[in-house]
Amino acid sequence: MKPLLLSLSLLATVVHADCYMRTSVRLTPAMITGVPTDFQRLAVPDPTGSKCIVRYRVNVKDDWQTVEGTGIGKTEDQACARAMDLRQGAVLDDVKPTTVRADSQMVCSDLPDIRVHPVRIGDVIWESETDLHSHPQEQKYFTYKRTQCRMFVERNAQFQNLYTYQGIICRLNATQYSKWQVVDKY
Amino acid sequence: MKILVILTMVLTGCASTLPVKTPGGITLAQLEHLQVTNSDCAVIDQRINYVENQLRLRGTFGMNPEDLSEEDRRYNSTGKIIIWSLRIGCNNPTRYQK
Repeated sequence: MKPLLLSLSLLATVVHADCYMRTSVRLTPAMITGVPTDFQRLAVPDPTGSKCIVRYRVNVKDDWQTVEGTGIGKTEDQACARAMDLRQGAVLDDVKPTTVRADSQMVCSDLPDIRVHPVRIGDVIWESETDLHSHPQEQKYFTYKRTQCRMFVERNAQFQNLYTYQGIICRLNATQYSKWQVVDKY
Repeated sequence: MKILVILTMVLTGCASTLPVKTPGGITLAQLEHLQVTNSDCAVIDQRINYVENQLRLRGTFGMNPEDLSEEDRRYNSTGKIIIWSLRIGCNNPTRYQK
């Protein structure tokens, strides 16, 4: 009996899906800063060929939002290309009991949940795990050692003081699914 | 002897404007007074090595800011701002142009 209980409790800790409310908010390229980033995709067979669910992050007024898009196509690539169309995506919102209504749609997924958090030099992260270092006259990305990089800011409360650090993250590869590495922080 | 004096004067004149290195590295005030301009891009490696060495002497090179004292954090960030201004500015001349 004991091993069974132990196995069940382990299973409960391993199987964990994050849930969001799918809002009716649709975005246009003009509403976002830069371009969508941190693409994660999940493709499954469909009677017509393939169904693809893509989750990505967009920056709207200095705030990262998670967007989910769905696409159907004859091939996986075709379905995912449709799912990546920003105008087809719906903004996902954190689940708040006060905002749950009868017509609300809750979506849960095993895809990793991405949130802004303190980082350290050498960490491999999603781009939207850090806040943008935004300066009106500054181009968002720059090149360092032939790699696309950008600056970030991190606000960190420590010993009752609020510190603002800045740093550099660089893309690990040129694909849309690439993670980023914290190259420096100061 | 004359030649030696002239050679010394010429070399002094050609020397960089960087502060003279002291055993523990330059002070924060000296570091804060280091200015970088477009002309530094021609000697970018030399300039970056100089500042990186100051951070090494101070023991802050490669450290995360959370692990440093208030004073070292300020020294480290001053040096890093110079280093990244050179790295970004020299390789991305259109970064601040709309």
